[in-house]
Amino acid sequence: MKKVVMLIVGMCMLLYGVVAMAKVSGRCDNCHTMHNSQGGSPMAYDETGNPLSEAQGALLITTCLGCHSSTGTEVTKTVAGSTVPVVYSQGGPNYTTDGKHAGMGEVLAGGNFYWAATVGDAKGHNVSGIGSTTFTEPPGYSQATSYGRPATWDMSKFTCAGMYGCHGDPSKEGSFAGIYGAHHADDSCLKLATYDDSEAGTTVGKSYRFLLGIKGIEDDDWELTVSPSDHNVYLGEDRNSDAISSTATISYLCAECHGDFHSGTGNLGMDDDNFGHPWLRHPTDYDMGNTDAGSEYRSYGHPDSAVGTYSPIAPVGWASLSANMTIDTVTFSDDTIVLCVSCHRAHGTPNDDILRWDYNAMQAGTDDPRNNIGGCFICHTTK
Amino acid sequence: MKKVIIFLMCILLYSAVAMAKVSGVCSDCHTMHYSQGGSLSGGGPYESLLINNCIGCHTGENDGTNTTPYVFSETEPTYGTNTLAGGNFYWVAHGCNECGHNVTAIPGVSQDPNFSQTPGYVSGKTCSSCHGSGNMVLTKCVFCHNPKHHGSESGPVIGDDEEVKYRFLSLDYYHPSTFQEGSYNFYGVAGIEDDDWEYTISSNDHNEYCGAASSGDYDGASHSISRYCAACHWGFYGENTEHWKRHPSDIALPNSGEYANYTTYNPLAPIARLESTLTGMTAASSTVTPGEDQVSCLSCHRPHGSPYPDLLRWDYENKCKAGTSDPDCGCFVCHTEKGG
Repeated sequence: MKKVVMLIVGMCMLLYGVVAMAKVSGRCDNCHTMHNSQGGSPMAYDETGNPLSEAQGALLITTCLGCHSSTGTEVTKTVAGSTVPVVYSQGGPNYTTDGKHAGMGEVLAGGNFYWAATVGDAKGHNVSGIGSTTFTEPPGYSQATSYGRPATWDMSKFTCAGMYGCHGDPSKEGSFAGIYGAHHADDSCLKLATYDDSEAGTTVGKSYRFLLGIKGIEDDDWELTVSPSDHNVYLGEDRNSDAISSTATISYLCAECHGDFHSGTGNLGMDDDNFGHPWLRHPTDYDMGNTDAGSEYRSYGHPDSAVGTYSPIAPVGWASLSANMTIDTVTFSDDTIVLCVSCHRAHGTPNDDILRWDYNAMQAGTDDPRNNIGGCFICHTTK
Repeated sequence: MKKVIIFLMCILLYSAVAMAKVSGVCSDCHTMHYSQGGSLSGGGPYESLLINNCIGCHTGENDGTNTTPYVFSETEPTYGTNTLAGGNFYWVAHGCNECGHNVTAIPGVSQDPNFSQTPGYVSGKTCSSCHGSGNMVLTKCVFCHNPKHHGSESGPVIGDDEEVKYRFLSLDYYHPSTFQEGSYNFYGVAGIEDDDWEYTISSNDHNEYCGAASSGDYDGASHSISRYCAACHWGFYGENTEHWKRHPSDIALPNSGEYANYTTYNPLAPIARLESTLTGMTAASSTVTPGEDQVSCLSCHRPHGSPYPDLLRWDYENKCKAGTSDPDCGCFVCHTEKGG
């Protein structure tokens, strides 16, 4: 009996170990240094391995990029036994840009900063220290105070997290302050088997990908392996106007800086006087289940798969999330919500406007474009 | 071997036909957020995420190589050479209010001050049933066209049993299609679309227009292009029975007298086909059959515009003199003996 109990406990530990958790584990000195001094030399380093004499926030031995970048092409790496997602692969990751691949399984869900750093500012978010841009504020940045952001933007302060960043607490300035404590949080409420909507979004650590307030189900390897049944699950909203409503959707997060593209007033937004076709701009937080029963959007589906198969190439959102929910098929009822991330990868891609696929490869008038081209035609199935 | 040749010829013929359904790179026509380089471009945003409005795309100089038809040219076109079947808005935009439909979305076009009502307005008929006194201002192209640039057509006859209509002519941009069907038995225009919009034209290279559903028909379900004009100009179409008080339309060219001489299609004064004839056609025909083929609104007018008052296809004032034959006078194409 004792052996059976030990076997079960051991199996649980193995099972637990397979699911990647944001809550870090391991020795404290893997990440922290008390005085940034050892034998008269600094302990901290940057993403290229160069020593940093200035002590880092939260007593860390490196910066965000120091942990989350690689010098090679890999998109994950092992740090003291923990698998860490890499969002900047300095050696240049692979990325197949056509609409039937769009980088699936080659970069992580959010993409990679490599192209913004080496090719141009249209290829990714131009985080300070990674890339540069001539923009003085994010495109569509207006009504920022409606989203809790500064009234004016300072591109020199554009960081991974905090007030001028995406991750973490936007009320705090700087990445360290913005992300403080999140890596030690128990984020099991964000996993498919244990999702808890009442906890999700309540703290930075319990928010989807540390995006404060945002709910979602985190894929356990950041979509390194990805398929219609193995992917992130995004929260969307089935809106009937483009006014600001839910503050928990992934598209709302984007709107905090790109508000016009999500909730612009008048003709600054998606629509003019009437919510719906003909749109002025591409809709987001809009459920394709609201289209006519015979519309092309009702044939949404992953290329070379049945209609209604979720496509991680052009992901859609759900209006509500729950533990162990079905994630491989959609029913066109509150589960086909167009998102910003339906078309974009937030960190970066080889494509302009950080699109998931090469827009110039989208050729209207092709037979069966959903299966032959993918990309835009995963939703616009008869164009 | 014979079958192989025929098969190959069909492929060649099909590939030569210009389809309304667009093809090509999406970004040629669309922009997702109307934002580029961090700032807004001028003029937009436009509906359906377009990079321009109707007239923005359809303005230019036709030269036989353009794949978008230009209905407005900023410099004066050569009428009949680089103007298309529907005509050109140039002249109505440059001071001749009566030379085209006064679509105010076109730069330079203003409402015709001569009119207090739409010509041919009849109280209680068609649009006037709801739209009051009948002085509707044409502010947009979609008053006449319901564009479906991504729609599929079954061809060669477009619009008879499908959503996409001949040259997108249908009134259901603002109203459901059932509305026009129920109010005056109109089901959108049908026809055969010439593949270069009549940039090149001859007796067997032209549009084919749909006429009445049946002889003497005014009440039958119709795809007639003249009945379409009648949505606004009903008085010139439906109030004209028995002895003519106004020039007929959707009436067969008589198979007698001077009219019987019009037997070869003349694009200057085109005829429309009986709908039952049109639906059996596979290409434009040079044959005109008096007694069956019909006079149409388009026999005399170009709806976008022409250099001539009343949107006429020819110079009625200077070219049409009874007793003086003139090939430039379209009247004499049907009235074959009036020119002398």
